[in-house]
Amino acid sequence: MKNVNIIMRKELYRVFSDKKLIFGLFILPAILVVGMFLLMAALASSLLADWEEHEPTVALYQAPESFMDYIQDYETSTGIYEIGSTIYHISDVMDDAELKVCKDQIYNGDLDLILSFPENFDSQVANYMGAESIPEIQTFYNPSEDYSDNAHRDILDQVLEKYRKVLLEQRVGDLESLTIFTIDETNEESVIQNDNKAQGKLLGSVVPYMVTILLFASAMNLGTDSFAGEKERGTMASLLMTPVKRSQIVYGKLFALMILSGLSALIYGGSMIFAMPLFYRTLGALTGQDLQFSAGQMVMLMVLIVTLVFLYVAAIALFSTFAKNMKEASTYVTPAYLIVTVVGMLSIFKGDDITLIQYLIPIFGPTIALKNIFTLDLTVGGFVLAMVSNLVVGAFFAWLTAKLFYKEKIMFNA
Amino acid sequence: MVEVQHVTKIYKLNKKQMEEQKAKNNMKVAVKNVSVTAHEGEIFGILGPNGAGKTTLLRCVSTLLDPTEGTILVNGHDTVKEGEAVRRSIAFLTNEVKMDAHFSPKYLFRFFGRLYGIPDDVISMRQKELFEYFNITEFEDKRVEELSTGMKQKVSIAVSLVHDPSIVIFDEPTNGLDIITARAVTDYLKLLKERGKLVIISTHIMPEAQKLCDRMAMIIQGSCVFQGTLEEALQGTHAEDLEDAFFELYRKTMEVES
Ligand SMILES: Nc1ncnc2c1ncn2[C@@H]1O[C@H](COP(=O)(O)OP(=O)(O)O)[C@@H](O)[C@H]1O
Ligand SMILES: [Mg+2]
Repeated sequence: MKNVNIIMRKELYRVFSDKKLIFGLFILPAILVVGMFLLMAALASSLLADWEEHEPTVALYQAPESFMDYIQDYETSTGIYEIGSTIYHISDVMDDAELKVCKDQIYNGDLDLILSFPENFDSQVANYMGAESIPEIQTFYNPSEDYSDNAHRDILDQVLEKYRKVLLEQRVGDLESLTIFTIDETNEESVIQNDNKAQGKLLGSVVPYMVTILLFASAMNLGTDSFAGEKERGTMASLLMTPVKRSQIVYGKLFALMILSGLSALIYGGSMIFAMPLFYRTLGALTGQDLQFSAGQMVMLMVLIVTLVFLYVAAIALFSTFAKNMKEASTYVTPAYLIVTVVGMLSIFKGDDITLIQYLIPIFGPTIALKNIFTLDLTVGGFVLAMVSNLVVGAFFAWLTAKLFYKEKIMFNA
Repeated sequence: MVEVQHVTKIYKLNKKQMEEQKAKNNMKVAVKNVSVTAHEGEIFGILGPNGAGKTTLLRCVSTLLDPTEGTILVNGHDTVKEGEAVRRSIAFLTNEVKMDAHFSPKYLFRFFGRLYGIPDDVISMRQKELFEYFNITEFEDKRVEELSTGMKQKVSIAVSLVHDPSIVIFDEPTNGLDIITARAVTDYLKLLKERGKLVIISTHIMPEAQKLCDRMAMIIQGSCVFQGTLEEALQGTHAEDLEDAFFELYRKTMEVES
């Protein structure tokens, strides 16, 4: 155990005495994650601002008098209307030929919306003759243009809907007599949910994916260097020349790797959790409530992350030990990285229907377990099985690596 | 004491190696039934041309490789069954075993000292002595990667000797060194001998061996063709110096082969 400790401390010192490694492992990830989220937030808010500033253009075809009267109230100067907080430029279309030109403009994104009324709209409304003669207002817009899409939605909601009510009121007098029931008009407590679970669902779908990939990625460079790199540089042989048991060399290196990649992943995860509310707050999409973790959740999260790091580090060590140099090592480790990525992605979509025994499936079970911690769906049994899966497979890989260290063909290519 | 008893080492070649060495089958006999014995208080030379099998033999003695046949005893310990005990009493220096250049000489010395289980105060004493002898003290806190080739080699020697081994095995000790460093190294090997250690070196430079070695074994194509003192080598071949003696032995071996 003493030797394991000496070797582990040397490996740690190697990293912590190298400014470039410290930067790459611990500082760069934080900068990257926070920077990425800030950039996304900045882009999103400038997009929103852009939408708000845009003054949509609307063309009216055969607009009836009643409609012109209705929107009169909103007119600020000729052809310019302020509806909601948006300024609209509304113009008339003279004939069919011009209508066709307008449609082309919609297609090209030069015009945002056309409202086309039937001839004699007002008289059709006034002389209601039954279902046959209900007049139809046609709208033309371009959903792939954000401006057009927004204008269409807003005009429908804020203008046409209200205009319809005005006409309806003229026809039946008291509108309330038509109201059979309302839904949640005065009920402000309609939404009953665990806010933690709701946020957890969101975090739960991305965080396990991120965590497992980042854990593996941060262990990858260090692991291949610590095993294959040392072999390539000939420094491994100097360790093998000491009377220390080779299994102790392996375990010392593994522990150091676990600490380093665990730390790196923690920084990744930490900066992600730190940056996420920043992002949401800018968008105004979330109220900025913090996700509250219970002590139990915290413990389960930590245990799963630590054991998962152990598994990944042991797997990387095993593959790297087979390799003669760094290049070979990254060739061997890449397929494992792909598996981890794919399983991580699977976990975004699966998880609710996992059976207890499936938590034992290496990598898959524990990744799902990570996800289910966030949604409060992880049972103690599932947690224990996921942990056991990590430990058993990791220990097997570590044991195999130690065995390989005694093979001269592998260690000395002889 | 090192006793090499009927040692044969066969490498299994993979396809690429077979092409490189133009081998017909996948077995390369690098060392063939070699028996030699070396004692404390002498410098023992393993001599032979490149590819003779010198390094392979020394790697077997140092426990890095297991002999395919035969046994090697180091101070009575079997290199295969008691590798840890053997490694405790030897130092193996070769250009394939390197120090991690990221660390300082001082750090490396302490690290390896601890791995040998040596108390810190003893490590400090050893460090003072060795670093002073090899003039490392001035650079002890610099990273090894910042040092000159000669200084790196000296650091490597000093660190390998941290546990004061009774047997020092040195593969091509002056290979690639400038003349001054080479002299410092060979002088130190003599000093070790005077202190009663066994020093085993391998070399293909006969004049160097003639100056340095008390006894020697000549290896040609994996087989030991001579073992004895310098005088015995010269007498047996009626040669003026070791180089002539070597070529005489080489000629005879080739004759027997063909
Ligand atoms: N790892 C190895 N795998 C296969 N063949 C090897 C290996 N190492 C050395 N050899 C071969 O064994 C023979 C002896 O090599 P070596 O012991 O290095 O000779 P020397 O040190 O005397 O120059 C050479 O023919 C060499 O090509
Ligand atoms: Mg050699």
